[in-house]
Amino acid sequence: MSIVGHIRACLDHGRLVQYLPVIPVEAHLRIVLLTPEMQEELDDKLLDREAEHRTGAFLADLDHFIAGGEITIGDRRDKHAFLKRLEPEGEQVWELRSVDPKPSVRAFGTFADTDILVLTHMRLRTELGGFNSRAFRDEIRRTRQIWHGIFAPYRPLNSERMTDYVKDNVVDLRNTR
Amino acid sequence: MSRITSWICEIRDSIPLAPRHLGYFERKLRNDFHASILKLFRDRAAAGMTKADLARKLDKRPEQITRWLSAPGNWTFDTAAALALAMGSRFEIRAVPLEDTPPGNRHHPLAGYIPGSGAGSADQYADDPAPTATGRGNHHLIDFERVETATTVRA
Repeated sequence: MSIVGHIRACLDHGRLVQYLPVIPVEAHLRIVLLTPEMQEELDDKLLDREAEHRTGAFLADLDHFIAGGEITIGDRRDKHAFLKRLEPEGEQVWELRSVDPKPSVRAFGTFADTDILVLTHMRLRTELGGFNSRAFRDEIRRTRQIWHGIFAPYRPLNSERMTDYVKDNVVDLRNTR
Repeated sequence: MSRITSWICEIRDSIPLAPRHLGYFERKLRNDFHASILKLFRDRAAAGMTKADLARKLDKRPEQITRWLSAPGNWTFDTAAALALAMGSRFEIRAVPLEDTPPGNRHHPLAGYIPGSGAGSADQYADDPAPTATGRGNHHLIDFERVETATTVRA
């Protein structure tokens, strides 16, 4: 079975949940898959008076992504990119950066295939400390563990070409420095 | 009730509007502006324009242009107008009813997959071998129609 077949089986058995947009979109070109834990966290935050405004903005970022909207993508040096591959790059852990309004939110995940992003969990940026902090390393490790628990023996998508991760409507910031 | 129906009903019935709704649409507007500028820049860059050109045109430092193009975090309407103008464009904006479905019918093959529908075992990928523990995986580059950004804000 291919990894896409495996994803369908995971959806069938509730091990993954497909994120769906909250308002009608012109296109649904990229897939965001959530762990049930992350789906639950999102639902809880939407009902939390303190967090719901920020969570609404985060959902707008997810909807923009799945609708095939223009995004920026980069690596450690591209600190303002929407999608950023974390180091060590071989781990294939990415962060989706929802930076506005404050507090900034980071969703961690891994690409299963082109335009298929599996988000495992999210954190406020303020909880993570500086670049390469222990907290960041812990989140990278956690992302890998969750991936392994759901996907083993399948491996994350691994490529040097950003368009292998996000096919269209993407600006690779590494090329514009 | 689907999430889409649920949100539209919630918004219609909410007095006052809930913070989650405001947070969503405030952010969406920024994303739409940013997407329009990014698309414009991709088009201009393909014709030879660089960030340095844009910086000169706007009398800004190149780092500022990089920040603006990367994310719309600190944008104002003035920022959007200036960036568009520097690329020979202007914004044309319209408001649409929430329940309007934007034109277009382009979907990733997995979009809207209904769990338990059985397509998982009968799809085009079903006969592919699973990777071995030491393999690099067998990823497919899913083919679908190339599209442009879905947005109601055009530059």
